[in-house]
Amino acid sequence: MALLSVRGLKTQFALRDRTITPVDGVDLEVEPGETTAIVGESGSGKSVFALSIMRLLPTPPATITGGQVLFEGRDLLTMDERDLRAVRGAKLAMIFQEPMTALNPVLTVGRQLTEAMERHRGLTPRQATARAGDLLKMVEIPDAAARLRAFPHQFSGGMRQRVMIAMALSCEPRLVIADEPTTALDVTTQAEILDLVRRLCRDTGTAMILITHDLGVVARYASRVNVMYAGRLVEQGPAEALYGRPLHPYTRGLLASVPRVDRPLAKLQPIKGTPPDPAKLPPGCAFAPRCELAIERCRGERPGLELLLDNRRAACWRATEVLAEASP
Amino acid sequence: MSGVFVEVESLTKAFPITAGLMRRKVGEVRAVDEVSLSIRRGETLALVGESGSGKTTLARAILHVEPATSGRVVFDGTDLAALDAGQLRAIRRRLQMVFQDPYSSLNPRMRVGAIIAEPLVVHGLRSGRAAIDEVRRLLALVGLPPDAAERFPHEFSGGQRQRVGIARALAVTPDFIVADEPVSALDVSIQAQILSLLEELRERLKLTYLFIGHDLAVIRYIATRVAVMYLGRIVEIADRDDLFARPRHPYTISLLSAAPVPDPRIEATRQRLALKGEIPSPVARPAGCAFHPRCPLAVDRCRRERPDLSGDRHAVACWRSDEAPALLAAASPR
Repeated sequence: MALLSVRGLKTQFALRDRTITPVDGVDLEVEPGETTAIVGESGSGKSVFALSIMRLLPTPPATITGGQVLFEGRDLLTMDERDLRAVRGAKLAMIFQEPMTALNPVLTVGRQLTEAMERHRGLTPRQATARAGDLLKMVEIPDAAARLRAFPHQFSGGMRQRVMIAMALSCEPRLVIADEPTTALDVTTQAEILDLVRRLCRDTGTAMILITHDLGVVARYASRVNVMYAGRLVEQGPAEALYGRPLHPYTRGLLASVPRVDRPLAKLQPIKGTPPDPAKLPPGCAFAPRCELAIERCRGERPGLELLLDNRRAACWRATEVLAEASP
Repeated sequence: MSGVFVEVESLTKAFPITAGLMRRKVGEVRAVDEVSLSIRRGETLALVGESGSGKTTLARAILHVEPATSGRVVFDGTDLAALDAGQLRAIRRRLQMVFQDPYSSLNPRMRVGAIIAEPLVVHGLRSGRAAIDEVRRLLALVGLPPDAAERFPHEFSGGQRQRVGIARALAVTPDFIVADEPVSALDVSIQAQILSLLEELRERLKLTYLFIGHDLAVIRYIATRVAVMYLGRIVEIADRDDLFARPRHPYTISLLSAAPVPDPRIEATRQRLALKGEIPSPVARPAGCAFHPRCPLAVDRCRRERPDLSGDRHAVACWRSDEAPALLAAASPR
């Protein structure tokens, strides 16, 4: 059984004069221990999707208007607050882009670490403190025992991110959702933090949903990839197969627009135009206005995510034709 | 590529560290420390480094926005420090800047037409009808529709705002442009559009770029030469292809190995050259080679003696650069 099974998730925001749908019918499965990526550009709905799963969006303006989020077989969307709190933090944790939004500035790092473990794992204060010191050591913070008494602002950006990772993993969750965990960090720090998270997740068999805009990061850390565009998944598949032979024109466009550090590139082929305004989505495929393969049908009818190859899905009316042309 | 266009000689920018009520000076931080480099006409020199490396401070000192503490900048044969205010203003027209965040660099209360026309008017180049025509021409040049002139910055996407920023920089027909992380805040698909535009404009208008960035893939695409900065100093500078194929400073190698490649098959076999610790604060610059506490190759000499850049077309500041090929091989895909 999948660890997490999201079915038809739909999240809407009520704005002053209209309603938008940042997440519009997303299906996603995460197996125990695997790292799956959600890749998309700003406004694609990838962060709203993560916060919807965690039920961390404020209502109003947000309402989850449809779907199920089955975690270990139980629907998080219908769970009462008390049960939900027990799941969050203990079995399901989140790592955010900006650690200061998740850390309490007036509590020491030690207190923030021990609080969750005392609540969720029933440790005594003494046990929790010992474990907190171990956790800081585990995320490679120098002088860990002394640093328990420090406040978040006394750490550098990279170290703060490590503290948040220690917090997220303190109760050995089954699933971690990491939302652009290293976007604000330097290249070498980013690599260190992500290597660390990968190692820790492997050690404990923790599964991860990695949310990012960076196709290089996805290639390095994820085994499965979900490409999101305008609130929907447009392509889904194992990383190697998807990069080797992208099925959706948007995925192909993304891969053709990233410069690469490992080889010279004569010319980039940017995708034309800009992502659509979530309040003014076109009636058919949301990518059609930017798509070179778009035909009449794409502008009128919205394609669903269809199984096209072994383990590969894409939401595109032209995908089967493209596949037929590509294979001899 | 013909001749030196901008010559930077031993440029240092120090900021005082003050203490107490009287703001007594107790020391100084050298954000940029004796940097020398030359930028050739028509090239794109990229400055790459992580936060705190001093790359933006160096650019501002080169542009004389924040004059250097010592050293000099010779722009097309003219020493900027020797100019009076009037002469400096005249030469400034030729040096323009494009910023990372087009949001904060565009006045939200001005229409885009007025934003682009402002430098034309300030420099007394165009006014009235002629300015309006020029704005239209500039909008077309950066790929924006003519009616963009009537709209406000918030009505545009990030990529379009960056186009406005570029149009404004180009209004005064500069020949040297400093682009400070111009695509870092943009989405992947939009980033490619802006990079292509910058490249096209450089060829069409015979521009010279100083391109500041941290994304090595972007730099590999846009630069003709690359300078790598660490704690206020250039540690390696070389032609683009040479630097990417044969990096000689351990720091450059670690940066290259940290940058992920959008290809899972390659990533599966890559090794990363991990560094010890974090970048120290420029206030506590290590003695000798500033990189030595994090360097996998450091020996005693590195802790005592500071290496200077040496080499002609491919210069490196490292006592141990002969060991670089082995280090690179260890970090390469098998």
